[in-house]
Amino acid sequence: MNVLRTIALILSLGFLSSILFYKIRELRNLSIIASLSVALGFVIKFFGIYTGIKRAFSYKDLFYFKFDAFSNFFVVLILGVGLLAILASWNYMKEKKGETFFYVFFMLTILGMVGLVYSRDMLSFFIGWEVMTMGSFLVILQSNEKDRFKFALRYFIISLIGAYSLLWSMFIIYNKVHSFKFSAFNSSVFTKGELTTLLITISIGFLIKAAIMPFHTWASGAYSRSPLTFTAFFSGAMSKMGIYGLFIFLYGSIGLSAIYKTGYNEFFQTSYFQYTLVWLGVITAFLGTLRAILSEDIRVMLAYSSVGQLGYMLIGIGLGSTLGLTATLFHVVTHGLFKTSLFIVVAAIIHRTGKTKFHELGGLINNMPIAFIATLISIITLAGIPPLGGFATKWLLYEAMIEKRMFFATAITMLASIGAFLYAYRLIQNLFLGQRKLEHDDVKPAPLTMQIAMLIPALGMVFLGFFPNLLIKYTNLFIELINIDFFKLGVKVTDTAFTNSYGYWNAFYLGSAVVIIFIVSTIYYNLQRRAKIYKIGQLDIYTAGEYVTRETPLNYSFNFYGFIFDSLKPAIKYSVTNFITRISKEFIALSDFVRRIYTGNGQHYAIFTMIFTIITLIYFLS
Amino acid sequence: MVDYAILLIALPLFAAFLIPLVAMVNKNWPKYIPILVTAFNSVLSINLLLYLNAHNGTPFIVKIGGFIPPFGINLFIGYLAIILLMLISFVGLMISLYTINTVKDAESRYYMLFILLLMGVTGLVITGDLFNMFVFLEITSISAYSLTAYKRDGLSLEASMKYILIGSLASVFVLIGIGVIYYSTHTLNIADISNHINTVPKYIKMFSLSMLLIGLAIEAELFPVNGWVPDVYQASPTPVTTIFSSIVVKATIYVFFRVLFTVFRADLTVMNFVMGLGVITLLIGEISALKQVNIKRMLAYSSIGQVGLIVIAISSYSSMGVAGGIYQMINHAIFKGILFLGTAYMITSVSGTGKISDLKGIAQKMPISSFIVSFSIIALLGVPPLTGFWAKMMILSSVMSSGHQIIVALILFATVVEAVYYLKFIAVIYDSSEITNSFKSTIKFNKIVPIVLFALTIILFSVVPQFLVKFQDVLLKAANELTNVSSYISIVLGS
Repeated sequence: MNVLRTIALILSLGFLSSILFYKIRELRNLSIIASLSVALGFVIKFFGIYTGIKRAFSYKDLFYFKFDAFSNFFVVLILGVGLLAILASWNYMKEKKGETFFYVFFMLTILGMVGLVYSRDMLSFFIGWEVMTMGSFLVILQSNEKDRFKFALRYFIISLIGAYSLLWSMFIIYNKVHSFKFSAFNSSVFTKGELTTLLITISIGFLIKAAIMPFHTWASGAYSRSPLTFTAFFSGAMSKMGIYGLFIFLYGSIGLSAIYKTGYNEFFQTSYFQYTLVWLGVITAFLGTLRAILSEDIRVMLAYSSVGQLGYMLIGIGLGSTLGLTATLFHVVTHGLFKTSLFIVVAAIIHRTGKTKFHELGGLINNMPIAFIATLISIITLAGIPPLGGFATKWLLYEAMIEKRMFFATAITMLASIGAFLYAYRLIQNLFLGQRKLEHDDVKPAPLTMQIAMLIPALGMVFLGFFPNLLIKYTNLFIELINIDFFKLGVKVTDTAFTNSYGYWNAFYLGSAVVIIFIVSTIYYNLQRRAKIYKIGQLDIYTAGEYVTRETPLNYSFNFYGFIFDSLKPAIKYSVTNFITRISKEFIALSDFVRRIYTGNGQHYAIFTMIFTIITLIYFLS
Repeated sequence: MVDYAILLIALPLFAAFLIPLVAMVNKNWPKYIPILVTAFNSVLSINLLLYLNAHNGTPFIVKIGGFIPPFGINLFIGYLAIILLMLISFVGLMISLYTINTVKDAESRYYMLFILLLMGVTGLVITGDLFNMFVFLEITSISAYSLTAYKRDGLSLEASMKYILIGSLASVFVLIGIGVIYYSTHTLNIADISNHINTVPKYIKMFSLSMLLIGLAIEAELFPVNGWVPDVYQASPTPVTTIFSSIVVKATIYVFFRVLFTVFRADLTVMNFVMGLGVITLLIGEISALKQVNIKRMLAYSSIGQVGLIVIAISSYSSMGVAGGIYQMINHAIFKGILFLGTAYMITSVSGTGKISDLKGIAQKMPISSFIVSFSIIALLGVPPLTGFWAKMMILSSVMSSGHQIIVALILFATVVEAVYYLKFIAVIYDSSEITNSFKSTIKFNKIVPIVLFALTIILFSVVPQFLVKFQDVLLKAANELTNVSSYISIVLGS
């Protein structure tokens, strides 16, 4: 029995049942969850156990698929995050307008993604890619936001431009090597100029999906207007498809030596193309973070945070060294975990309160304790504070950048991760701590399925914090398949730590130390508390002799980082979004002009015919 | 023998002239005659397909009146002709079904003109004689002029007037071209002309080529001589518009390339010129559609754009490209069938003048038609794995392999533009706000059925890959029939 066929069958059954039972909530959701979890279990079980199973699959010498570490890494991410998002949607989408078709298109998206990740030829990759884009576009339309279509359309059109940039490159390659297979790529038939063009057009396709600046203009709208549980998947798993695509096209198909052929810089030990990618990543990490700091809407903040985090991943890809790629893959997982958790938390808060702005919320810690814990763990990971998993990413990434002597870029990236502290802090300060709004006194805790869906990634993050080496063992397999200077600068894994040529990171000891300190201090605190109970309420403050009530706003959360905003005001008005809007307006004006060629006057048409006659006669008779 | 193939033309002609007599007996009967005729033609073309399959797919000729080809008129039937015949009769059947109760106060002459139009188009795709082709072109055009003016309001009369003006120019050009060629080769049989075309002085050949190219470009809706198209499409009754977009223009494109490929044995300079025309037509059509507010006009511009795409594909001259062009012809006929009929069905249910904004939120009231229309739009945009994607793949790969990378980029660009206005249209019909327009709830079975059948065809072409692979062979054979001149001559004239 072929593994791939089985997985395809299981997922297709899930898709079909989402169509068949589209009106029966329990049956539909259960069958989708069953299908996803069976497929997930299947992938995990058969990965690396059986050797006798036929692992490749091809159809009519046109479509090739393969079941290996390369793909399974991302498939596990897709199915895992998808499962959590569907679980969270059970309550989130309940009784909402787009509920029935939400699941159908969600499953379609997952099908497309799994297909593209397993594919080993450009044609089926492209088919999966388009199905994914179409499916996600349709999912966005199922939300209840008024302006959803505007943003969904923007997302789809920009994605389409990216996809066609990819398609164009595919045909250029096919025209030369006469095969769509990734492994058939042969750099010797291309000139230097053609290779450069190819690299650029291919990257544009993927950078758009990963929302790297300056191709990020769709991201904040599409992320924030989707049904939020889907956004968890969108940001947690789907944006990584851009990263996966870059991986497989740049390093799996075209190859490092061909990239070096387009122009190699001795100082940075990398090609100019990759150097550009690194800088794009750095700029995205920096500006994305800045935008996130300045956002007043929780969803938009998380969207820009995703943009920034994808920037980190691109840096690793651009570096193209084992360290860099390991950092990227590690970050793919950690970002997948914490963004899923955060978006589900935000979905739960918006679901319960109906508010989307920071300053409209606050003090929800007593109402939603589980959500608070999930958020806390997530933002510790996001900010890269040891002992949780985010630190390992940063550690690997900075070392990888320093290894390539990109010191200035490293400094900016570090600045960006400080920015990540700033915006991540708002999630705790403005949502859970501070003063609770009067109307939120009776807010119920997050629905059960959402609590499960936000806690599982949190547990994953804690686990990853203690045992990052387990994941790195896995990413090593992945990188081995691509075979980039693996043995030269590999990341070695021991039982409790991982080592590279610069040092080692023993997360287990440090994590254990933190846990011990935490336990000791908790015990100490509780002993102290027993000694003297003295509670201070939120209103026990006497400012200027005035008596404060619940109505008095006590903590400030509106325009939280206003001082940063004020200092950057002149720069902010120049944004890529405005530029693109301007271009599209100009284009529509052009279309209005072109439309007027058809004047509606028969005499004009007769004149056109005469002019055409003259042109044709001149062309053919000369 | 397959001499009965002549019935494809003869029966509709007979039926068309029978209609006034039938109308005298009963006023309601004429509207069923188009259904019978198109159904008969469908069966006949399937029969011919089976015959062709049984004979290794070698095209055959039908000698009319028993005269041997250079002296008499012959029909040339291969896979290409049969694909087009099936398209004509299938789409014709769907439209005839739709037409019942659609055209207000439809008189018998409406159905008569309708059948004559179909007959003219059928003749165009199977005839092997150049002058006969002109005759069929005239039959098609004249019935098209009259059908355009059928509503007899200001808009349709004006459109028809423009159509006659430009159409008669086309006839003149075609006639001059044919005259010149007849003068220098003394024959009208396409195969025979092709045999002697190299003996004709180059100037005369190029002059008559230019004349025919201009005349047929007008009929095939190529820029800059397609000014009549938006007006005519907008003003005609919808079933007629659908026929124009789905069938008539396909047949004229076929004629256009049959004349260029077979009669003139066109070389690369001619084909590059035609490809340039195709690219401009595609871009202008799609860009003009972007800001349209009237649905039919938007679809008309989109139609122009698609014609450009088909012409680019066929003028790439490679067998894959021509096959892709033929595939796109089929796809486009089906998609535009759904779009024109589906939107017209929606428009009749609301009050308004056929603006896109009139259909705001219509999906809440008409979920099935809205879904099918959106589905066909998605298929038209070439979202894999639907059928539009495969056609586009064939076209792009062949254009790319003929070395026109920029043209591939332009085609993709045009598709993006197409996506913008079509998705905006979907946005309007799926708008979830309250419907302000008054809505007449009328579920008409005969209008839903054609749309659903069209949608099933899309699914059939899309999801049955086994079928697709066989289908690709057929397409390649059909492409070969169009491009391979020597086999055409040997089949018609004997070796």
